[in-house]
Amino acid sequence: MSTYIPVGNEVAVFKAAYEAELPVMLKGPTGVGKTRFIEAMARDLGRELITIAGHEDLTASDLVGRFLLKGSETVWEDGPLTRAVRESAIFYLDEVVEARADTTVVLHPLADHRRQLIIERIGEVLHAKPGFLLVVSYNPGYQSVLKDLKESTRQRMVSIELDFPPADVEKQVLINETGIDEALATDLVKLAQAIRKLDVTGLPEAASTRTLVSAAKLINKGLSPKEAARAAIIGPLSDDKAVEQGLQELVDAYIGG
Amino acid sequence: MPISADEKYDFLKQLSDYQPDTTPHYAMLASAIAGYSVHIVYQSGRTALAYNDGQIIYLSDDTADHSLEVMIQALLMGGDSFDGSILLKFIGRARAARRYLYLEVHRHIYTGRHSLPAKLLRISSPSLLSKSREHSLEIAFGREKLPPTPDIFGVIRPFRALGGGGKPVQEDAIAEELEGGEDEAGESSKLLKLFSNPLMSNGFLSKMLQDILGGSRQSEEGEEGAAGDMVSARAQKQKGLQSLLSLSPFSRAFAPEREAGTAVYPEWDALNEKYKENWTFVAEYMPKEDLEEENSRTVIPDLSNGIMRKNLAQLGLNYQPHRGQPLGDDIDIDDLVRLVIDSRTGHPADERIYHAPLKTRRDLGVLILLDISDSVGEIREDGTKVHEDQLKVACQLMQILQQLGDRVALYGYHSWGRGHVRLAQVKSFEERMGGEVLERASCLLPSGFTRTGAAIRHAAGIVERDCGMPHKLLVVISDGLAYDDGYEGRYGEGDTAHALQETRDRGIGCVCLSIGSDAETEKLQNIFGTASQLSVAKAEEVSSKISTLFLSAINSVARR
Repeated sequence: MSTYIPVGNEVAVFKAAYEAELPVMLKGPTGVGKTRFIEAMARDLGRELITIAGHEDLTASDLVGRFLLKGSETVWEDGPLTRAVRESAIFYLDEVVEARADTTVVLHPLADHRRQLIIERIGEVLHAKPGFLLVVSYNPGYQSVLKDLKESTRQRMVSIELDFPPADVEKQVLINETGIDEALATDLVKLAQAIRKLDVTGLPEAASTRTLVSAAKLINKGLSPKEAARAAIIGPLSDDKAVEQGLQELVDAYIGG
Repeated sequence: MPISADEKYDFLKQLSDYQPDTTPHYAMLASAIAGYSVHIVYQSGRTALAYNDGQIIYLSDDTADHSLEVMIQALLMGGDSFDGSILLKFIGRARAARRYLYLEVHRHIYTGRHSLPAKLLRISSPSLLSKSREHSLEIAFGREKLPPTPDIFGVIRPFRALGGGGKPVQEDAIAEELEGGEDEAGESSKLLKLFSNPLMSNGFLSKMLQDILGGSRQSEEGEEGAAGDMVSARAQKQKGLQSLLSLSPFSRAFAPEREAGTAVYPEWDALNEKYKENWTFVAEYMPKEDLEEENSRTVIPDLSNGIMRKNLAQLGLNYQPHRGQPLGDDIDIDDLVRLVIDSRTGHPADERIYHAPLKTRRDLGVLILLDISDSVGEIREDGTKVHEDQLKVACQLMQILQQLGDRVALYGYHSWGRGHVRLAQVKSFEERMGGEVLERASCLLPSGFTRTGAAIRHAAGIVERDCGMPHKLLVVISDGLAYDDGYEGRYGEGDTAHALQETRDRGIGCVCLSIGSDAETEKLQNIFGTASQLSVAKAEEVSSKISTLFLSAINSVARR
């Protein structure tokens, strides 16, 4: 199990929010390490982590719970959010923007000082105890305009911004996660840093730490560094032929072999 | 207002000389290393060294791998190696520029080694030679031995870079630099001669450059208004320098903003065998005395030249035999026989049976195009200048041809880049040769460069419009070849030759006179034609040979 290497004060802020029972919004590009971070925090705080990926078809019932038919009876089953509240776990809704507004509205009472979950269907109101924490993640760079996070939701949260770590930290992360040798880690990190500096149309997502980890894993399994970089970093970034060629030139320059 | 990189890039795409990078594979790499968005442009038809102007990287369009060149240019663009005052130091100092390049590239590679790509790091030696750009400058202009700068490091092109990056030029720094005096070491190039007119003191020079590069458009009172106005040669030079230094071909200051009276001409690209349309901008002006400038006038000696006069006089006055004349000294036998037969047979008889030699004047119009570029102003060993010799011959020709009844015009020509080609009107076809004409002639100040093709095209237009004689001649008096910004070597020669051909096709004969300089006679003969070119060491030698030169030129176009 890898440890999380802090970049800034994100650990301190998170723990303070947890103590203060305030919900947290993790902001950052995809692949920057949001999930790794929250996993590490849950571990440190000794809490269970319950993760749900936000998407368009997610309904309030999916979060809160529903009645199910078992045999000839209707039985209430708790959703993951309800379970988290009951068991004082950390509830993590990844990519909250992807979910519909009428879904995320169930979070509002949990997110303010009330810390309540209202389950109308069964007429129950749950009060969250210390130890429960609501965490959502949000990718500000890549969002559909229609699905912007509502002001009312945002205001309720403490935000932590995660960005790609500095080169030496990222290198360390790569080595920790994959055991790759330092020279290769250096080259891969340099490449990712260079791609991130670009402000190019057709390149909506910058190369993330996650893609670097994938590339390193491929190298461990026998692929040449250039092939691994192409498969794990360039390929996923863009379909535009011109952009791909540009990126290929970058790979040739930064990655030996 | 500085142009954005995108605007410049779009503008460049319209020019045939530059091809945009159609496979954008280097732009990303360059932008990543420079730290800002950079464009790549390929220059067609040349194997040139790479260079940049702060916004765009220029590469030769051969099929080689350019990634190292691109990375190096981007590295320089992202670093602190260049600003306006540093670029100025390298004008005409090619050796120092190469050394500086070597030092700075290695310095940046060293300091950036933690983020620069592996491929780039491989070319660098591990030891650090220079700690800063000031240190690099010191070494570059010094004598310390350095390894040769590899070709992949490209080249520094100060004029392009000064115009391009939009980085501000600090006036004080320039003034200080220029007033510091000349450095003995280093090569000088033709460009440097532009700045080292022996008549000017350093103070004046720095002030002039300061004015220009500081963006001030005030040259002096009596500044050139519309083209064709009276203007001192110095003001013309200042304006020319301004035009040349301000953004060169990328300047929107010259492309759309044409002054009234400026004519536009194409230029022939010999390598690609096609015209560049709307390429050169030519205007006329009338030279007047520069009151601030001492010794700027050229003394014109006594213009009487008996030998030349006699020589040229023969040109027009040839007795030609004419048949069928009513009166004459001799009887044409054939005509006589015809007459007798006609009379015998009762037909009306034509009594014009004499032939008589008659004087036929070959009416001639001549436009003299006098090279007044900087090189003719150089002082030779004997203390004289090529300009003095040329001017003397030009004025003598003018006077004699007028006395003989031919029409003649005299224009000086010089240029500062394709946007600023200027013809100085000494005498138009209409004017009479006299005091005012000689006054203007003496005010001509050699400066600038020679974009001969453009001058020829414009002069041909003047001849066609104003000459008014059946026989037309263009006489180019020049010490050498075409040389201007982007106009040199085979390109310049090719366009000059082509312009001459166009002129001849319009029925105007063309000749070239070269006086008292080590002109490249062979090259001139290649361009003008052996029979149409005359090189002499002394002005006097022209006198006896001039008519032969003219005659062959007139004949060659007369046959068309």
